[in-house]
Amino acid sequence: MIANSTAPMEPRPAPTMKIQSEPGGFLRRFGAAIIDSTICYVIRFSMLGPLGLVLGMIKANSFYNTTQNRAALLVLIYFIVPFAVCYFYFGYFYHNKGASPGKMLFGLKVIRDEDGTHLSYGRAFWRETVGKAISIMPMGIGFLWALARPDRKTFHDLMFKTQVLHQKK
Amino acid sequence: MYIENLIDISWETEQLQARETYQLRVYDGMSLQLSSSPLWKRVLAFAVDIAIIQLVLGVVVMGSLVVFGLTFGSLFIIFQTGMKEILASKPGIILLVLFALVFLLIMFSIFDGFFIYFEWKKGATPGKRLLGLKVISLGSGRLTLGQCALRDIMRWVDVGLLLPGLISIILTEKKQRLGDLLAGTVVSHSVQEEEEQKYFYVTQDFYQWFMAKCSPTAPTVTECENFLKFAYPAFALQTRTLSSMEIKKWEEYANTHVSGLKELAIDQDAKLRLFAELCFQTKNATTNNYSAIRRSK
Repeated sequence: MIANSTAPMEPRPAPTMKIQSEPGGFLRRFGAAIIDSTICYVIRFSMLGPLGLVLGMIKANSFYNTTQNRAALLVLIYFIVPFAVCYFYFGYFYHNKGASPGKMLFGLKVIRDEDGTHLSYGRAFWRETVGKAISIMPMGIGFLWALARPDRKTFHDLMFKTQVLHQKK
Repeated sequence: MYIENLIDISWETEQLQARETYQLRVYDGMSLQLSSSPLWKRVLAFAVDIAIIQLVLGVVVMGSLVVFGLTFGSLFIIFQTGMKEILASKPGIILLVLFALVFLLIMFSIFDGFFIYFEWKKGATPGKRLLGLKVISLGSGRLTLGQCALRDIMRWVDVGLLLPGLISIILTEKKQRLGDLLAGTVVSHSVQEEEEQKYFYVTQDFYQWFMAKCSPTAPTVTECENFLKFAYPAFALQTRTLSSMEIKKWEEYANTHVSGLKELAIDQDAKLRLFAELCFQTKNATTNNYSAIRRSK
């Protein structure tokens, strides 16, 4: 278990002190959004197996046979599960780390406009669902809005008072 | 921390408690506390990796479709034939099989090469790195190429069949999957590396150096809010330039809260940034943001 090596230890490098920030650019955020949506898709896809098991059990109990219950299960799979994944995924990462994995890969951070601290679960969820839906509705102008502003704010940033920063470490 | 340096420097692992914690010596006098990784973090790291690979594979599929179309389209034009005649002729079939083989080879080499390259060169794939996970070898210092390749081949069994990897992670005491067991590696988790993401105004190294030197008392939440309203636009957004009066006022404010900040041999800007980081960390740790929103209404 214990492995000893005789190579000499290097001295500790001097820490780089300050973190430089600038508003997050459009292309970076686009790449981060693609990765985030793919991760959400992978998580949802991997939940299909357990859900199928549950559905199988329900079918055996003849719960599945009425149209009403079938509709309820479809609503569960196609609406509630994606939204729940979105809530916990973005909520956890925005609240605890300040950025989702896709955003971390591109060195981005999402913070509150008021004092620059992390978002709450609720604000992260509404930003990602309602905010992005409203941004994409007028032919994606809500996203392209970032190109016109020096602080790179989209419609969902303006609505829920958030700011995306790119940090160089 | 410095992952690149950490791998290049030879290090030693010690088993501190029976199975939970390992200690990794990084630089002289400095060590990282590692523990075996939770399963959900490994799964999420894998999802992140798959997402990145999918992006690359998508581009490759589009590109190979274009190449395929151009090749066969030009064949149709040159020989005045259709797909039927090409499928009936021997060279046509050989060409098709060759295309399929090259396509599969490229796909597999991207998928496997991604894991092998990042684990061999960096010690962790991008997904693992985000979650503070790291593949370390139990026997020798660095991971060898053979170990990484073995891990990667066994990934098809562990993740492809789903159950073998899951059962072996649950049953073994170091939470190894079959590939880990065969290659003699373990996936470790370091809280320190994971929390590197959380730092906003100064780097983690600098902040920890400061905390060790000054041991400040945490300011209250309202004090944090007051200071951050000034510090956030000044240091992060850089939309505000500071007057010397303001700097003096806030420096005194910081000095009253952190004993020993005055004596530190660093510039004013860094001092204020350190105090801003302290406020940022305490506010993120203590406030329940739901109640904060309710209060502001």
